[in-house]
This record gives sequence, structure tokens and C-alpha cells, in this order.
Amino acid sequence: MINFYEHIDDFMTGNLDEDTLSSMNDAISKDNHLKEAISNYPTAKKISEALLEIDILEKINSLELEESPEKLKGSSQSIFRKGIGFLILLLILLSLVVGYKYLTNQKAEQQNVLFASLYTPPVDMDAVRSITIENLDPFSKGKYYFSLNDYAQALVYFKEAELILADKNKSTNYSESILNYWMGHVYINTQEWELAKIYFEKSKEPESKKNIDLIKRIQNL
Amino acid sequence: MQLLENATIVLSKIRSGKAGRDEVITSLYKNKQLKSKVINQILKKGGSKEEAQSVFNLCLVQFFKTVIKNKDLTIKINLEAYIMTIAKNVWYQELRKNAKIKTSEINDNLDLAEENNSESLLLNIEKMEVLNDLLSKLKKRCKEVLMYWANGYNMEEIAKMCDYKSAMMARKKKYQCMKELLDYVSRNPHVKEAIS
Repeated sequence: MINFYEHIDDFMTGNLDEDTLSSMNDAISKDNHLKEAISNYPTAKKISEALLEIDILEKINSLELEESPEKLKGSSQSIFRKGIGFLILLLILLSLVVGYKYLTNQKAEQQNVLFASLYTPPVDMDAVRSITIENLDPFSKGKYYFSLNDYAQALVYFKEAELILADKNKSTNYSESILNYWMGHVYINTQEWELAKIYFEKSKEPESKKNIDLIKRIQNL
Repeated sequence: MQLLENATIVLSKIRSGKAGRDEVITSLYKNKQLKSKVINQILKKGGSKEEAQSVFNLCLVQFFKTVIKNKDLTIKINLEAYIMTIAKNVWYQELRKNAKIKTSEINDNLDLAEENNSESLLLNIEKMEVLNDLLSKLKKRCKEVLMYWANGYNMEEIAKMCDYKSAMMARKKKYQCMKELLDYVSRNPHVKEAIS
């Protein structure tokens, strides 16, 4: 007596010899249970195949579990420690920031007072008198904007004037010394002390030294 | 790290049975460089951290399945690059499943090169849930035999890996287990519906 269940594999893969195949076909037509088994075979094979995926996933899950208690243990302790540490650090930082702000504000205030009491801006009558600014050369335009306290625009034109001065093919009605002097004044007004000092030092104008001394006093506050 | 550098050893360990397979899974899972590369790749493609971790796990499963089911598979590029390609494709498959991206866009991005003939996965969370009851009923030995048989091992190999005296014994065990499984499917038609 043939146990047809043992031959389902070969039946499905077409590996049965002719006689067994014929007997099996006969048995399937009579045995509903066998017929159902054959119909369920693809599902059973798929499940069997999926057992590998399950096995691998189970291993990965066990590795994840191995990792997570350590992480949790480590993290819960370190979160507490980190929390306190963070608070202390925050307090230190806050006090530093507040202290620094207080000191810098105080210093800036002292600098402003000193600057206001000792600084004298240059006055250029030609620039102030000018009616049509379009006709002015860049140096004069710079002085014009300086007189309006528009230091950014003044700097643009002084820089342009600097370029013209560097060009040996072009003649100018101003010297390098006077240009540096004016640029020094732009930077002193924008409180860029070091730059202002550099330009005043490059200038030979008599007033430059006075301004350098002022900057040094301001910086020493 | 050393294991990753030698693809031939990795492949033979994976195919050698549970111990070798678990050794490689552990090694790859704990390889921080590989893990962060895969995760960063998914994050760059717009995935969340959780999705990236899930893609990393799934790409490992797909990699092992591909190696086991394709006995002649050799990896010509380096193993890390191979796994990265699988991860990328797993991510696009996930996107397609969740309809976050047009099919045409996925096809443009899928690496269908020779080096990437990876096996697709049969399971997802829903299917796993359906199988939970069966898995608790099926004995460990049955699971092993059916798993190796369905993934292309012959009876001689199964006998060796599962410590049976002969291929005939392995065949008998496989028959008993298969009958048990077929009976279960017959009694639980919802399993057939879910898996098919």
C-alpha cells in the first residue's frame, strides 16, 4: 500500500514515475483529505521557507534585547547624572554670560562716555557745501556721507578713492595721508578701534596722533 | 570587521547551519560601521530612525536568505557594498508598500544588477502574527527540518546539520512534520489566506 503523503513533494515537482503518478491521481480523486493536502502544499512550503526568516529575525531580536537593557541601564543612570551635570553647567554658563554682559556693557558705556567727551570729528567745508553730489569725486563723496554720519556709504567711496590712488595712471587731488585720516575717522565712529588705529598710524595728518591716543585710552578701559 | 572582509568565509559560515549563521548575524548586527552606514543611507533618503533600524534588520534577513537559497551565489563586490545595495532596495520596497513613492521612481532606483539578485521576503508583521500560534505548536526539530528543506538543502545536508543518522531519517522526519503542517493549514484556513 502506497503512502501517498510521502510522495506529495515528488508529485508537486513532477518527479513521480508514471505508475505512481497514475495511482496518485486516482487516489486524489477519491481521497478528499489527500486532495486538500495537495491544495495546501504551496502554503505549507511557503510557511516552511518563512521559518528561516523567522529564525534570523529571532536572532536579531535577541541581539536587540541584549543591547537594550544595557542601553536602558546606562542611559537611566547617565540621564540622571547628565541632568544634574547639565543643570550645573547651565548655571555656570548663565552666570558667566550675565557677568560678561554686565562687564562688557559697563566697559562699552565707559568707552562711549570717553569717546563722546574727547572725540572731535573732522569737518570738510567743501563736502558740506556741495550741492550736486553726482559731480563729486569718490573721496569728496566719502567725506559728504561722513558728514551725514552715513559711515557705511562713506567707507564705500573712500575704498573707491583708495583704488584710484593706487592706480599710478590716475591723478587725484587728495593724498594717501588724508584719505587714511578720513578712513580712520570712519572706523573710529563704527568703534572698530584696531582698524581705526591702523589708518591713523598710516596717516601723517597732525590730528592723527591725537586720535591714536584716544583709541589707546578707550582700549585700556 | 575581519569577517566582513572575507566574503567567501561569510557565505560558507551562513550555509553551514545554525551556529555559523548566528555567528555571522551577531557579527554583522554588531558591526557599528555597517549599521551606521545603512541607517545613514535611509535617513538621507527621508526615512525616520525607526524605519532605518527596521530596514537594517530586514536587509540582514534578506541577505541571509539570499545566501542560503542560492548555493552558487558568490559576491564579486565587497560584502558591505552588497548589503548596502540590499538595504537600499528594501527601503524602496517599503516605500512602494506604503505607496510613498511612484512605482516608476522605484524602478529607476532599484539596483537590478547581477550582484543584487536578492530573495524577496515572505513575511511582514501581519503574517508573523498569523503564524504565532503555529510556531508555538510546531516542535523545534520540525521547524529546523522544514526550514532547511524549503530553503533548498538536500536530505543529506539536513541530516548532517540536524544530527540525524541518515538522509532517510531526515526524510522521514520531514514527512511527519510536513503532514503536521498540512493538517494545521487544513484546520486553519485563515492561515492559508494570509500567507498566500
